[in-house]
Amino acid sequence: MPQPSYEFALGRISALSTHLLSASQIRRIAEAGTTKEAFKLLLETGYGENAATEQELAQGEIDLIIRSQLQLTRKRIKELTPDPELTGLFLLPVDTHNIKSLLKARLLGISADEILRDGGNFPLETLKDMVQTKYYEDLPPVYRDTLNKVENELGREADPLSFSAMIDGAMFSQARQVMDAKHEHGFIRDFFSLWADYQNTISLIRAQNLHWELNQLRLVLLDAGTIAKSVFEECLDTPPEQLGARLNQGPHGAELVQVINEYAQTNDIGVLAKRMQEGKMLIIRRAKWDTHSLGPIVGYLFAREAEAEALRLIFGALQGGFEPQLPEMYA
Amino acid sequence: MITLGTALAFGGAATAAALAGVGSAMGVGIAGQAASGVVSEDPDKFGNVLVLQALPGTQGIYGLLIAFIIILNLGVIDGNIKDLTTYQGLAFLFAGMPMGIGGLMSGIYQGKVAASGIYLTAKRPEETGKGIILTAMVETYAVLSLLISFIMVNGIKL
Repeated sequence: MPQPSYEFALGRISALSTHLLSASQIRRIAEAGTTKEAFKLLLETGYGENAATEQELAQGEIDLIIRSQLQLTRKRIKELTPDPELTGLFLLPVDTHNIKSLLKARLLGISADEILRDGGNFPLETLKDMVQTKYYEDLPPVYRDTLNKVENELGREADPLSFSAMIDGAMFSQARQVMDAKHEHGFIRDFFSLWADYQNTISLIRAQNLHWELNQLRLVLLDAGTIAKSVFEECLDTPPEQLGARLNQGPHGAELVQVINEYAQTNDIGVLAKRMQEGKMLIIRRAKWDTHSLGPIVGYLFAREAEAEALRLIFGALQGGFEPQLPEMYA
Repeated sequence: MITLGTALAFGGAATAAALAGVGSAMGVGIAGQAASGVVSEDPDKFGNVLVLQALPGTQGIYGLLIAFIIILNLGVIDGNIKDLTTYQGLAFLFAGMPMGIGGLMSGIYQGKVAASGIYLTAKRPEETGKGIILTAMVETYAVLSLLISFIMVNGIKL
C-alpha cells in the first residue's frame, strides 16, 4: 500500500533502480548485429518487466515495449511519490503531447491512438472526450482557459504553431503556479527555469533564422524563465555572435553564453536542444543525492526516459543500417 | 509523601528512558519505512534490511538501563523509597540527561543513516556490511552518553 513518506518512496526507488539498463548492457545491445539479436539481448535484461503482451513480443515491436515500460514507470512514480503535485509537474510533458496530438488528430480527422502516451496527469480517456466535445471545465484552470482560447482561435483559423505554443505556455504556467503554491524554490524551479530559458533562446534563434515578425516570436516565448521575455524580444535583430552578451543574465546566463557561442561557430541549432537536455539532466543528477527530496524519484523517471531514448536510437539505427549516436545516459 | 529530591530523581529516570525511547522509536520508524519500500519491491532483501532497521533501537535499551539504575538507587524495587535531598535529586536528574538527550538525537540520526544503508543494500546487497558499519558509527555517541550517565549515577552518594 502506498505510504506518503520519502523513506518508503526512496526504498522502492533504490530497489527499482537495480533494473535500469547499465551502460554496458546498452553498449552490448547497440553492438548487436541484427535487430532480432538486439531485441533478444534487451529482453534478457528483463526490460519491459513483462508489461508488453505476448503478441507485442511476438511482433518484436520495440516501441510498444518501450511505451509499456515508460507507462509502468509513470504509474509507479505517481503511486509512490510523497508529493504528487510537484511530481506531477514532470508528467506535464506527457499531457502536453497528448493534448497537442488529440487536437491535431481532430483537425485532420484521424485517430491519435497510436501516438498517445499513457501515464500523464490527466486520464487519457477523459482527455480524449474533452478534446472531442471541446469541454475543458474539469481541467486545472490554466489548461481550461488555454484550451478554451485555443478552441476560439481554431474556430477562426487552424495555426498549429499558435496552438502548440499556447499549450506549451500552459504547461509552464501550470508548473509555476504549482511551485508557487507549494513554495518550491529548489531543484524543480531551477529545472523549469533552465528549460524555459533554453526554450526561449531556441525560439529566438529559430525566429531569426526564419525571419519572423516580433508578433510571431511573442507567441512562442515562455513566461517562466529567469530571463524576461522582453529581453528575447529586444534581441530579435541581434546577430548570433552578440546574443551571448545580451542573454548573459540570471543563474543560467553563463551557460547560455557558452551554448550560443557554440551555435555561432557550428550554426547547428541542435546543439542548443542537446545542451538543454544535458543541463536538465545535471540538475536532476545533483538532486538525486538529497534523500529528503523528490530528486531520486524524478531521477528514476529521467533515467527511464533516457534509457528509452537510447533504445529508440539503437533500434532505429539497426533498422536503418547506420551507426547509432548514443545520447547521454542518466545513470 | 516523597521529598522534592526524590521526585527530581524520578525525573532523571524518566528523562533517560523517555527521550532515548523516543529517539529509538523515531530512528527505527525512519529505517522501517525505508525497509518497507525496499521489501515491497524485493522481498528477498528482508533479512539484510532488518539488521539495519534494528540498529537505532539500542538507544531505548540504554535509556532503560540508566532509568533502571536510578530507580534501583532510589529503592523503588524493594519498596523502601529513599528520601533524597533536593541536591541529590538534581544530581540524578542531570545524570539522566546525557542519556536522554544523547539517545534522542543519536536515535533519530542513526535512523537516517540506517535508511541510507538500506538504500545502499537495495542497490548493492554485497555492500550491506558497509551500511551496517556506517550506521554503527552513530552508535558511538549513544554509548558515550550511556557511559557518562552511568558514571554520574554511580558517583552520587546517598
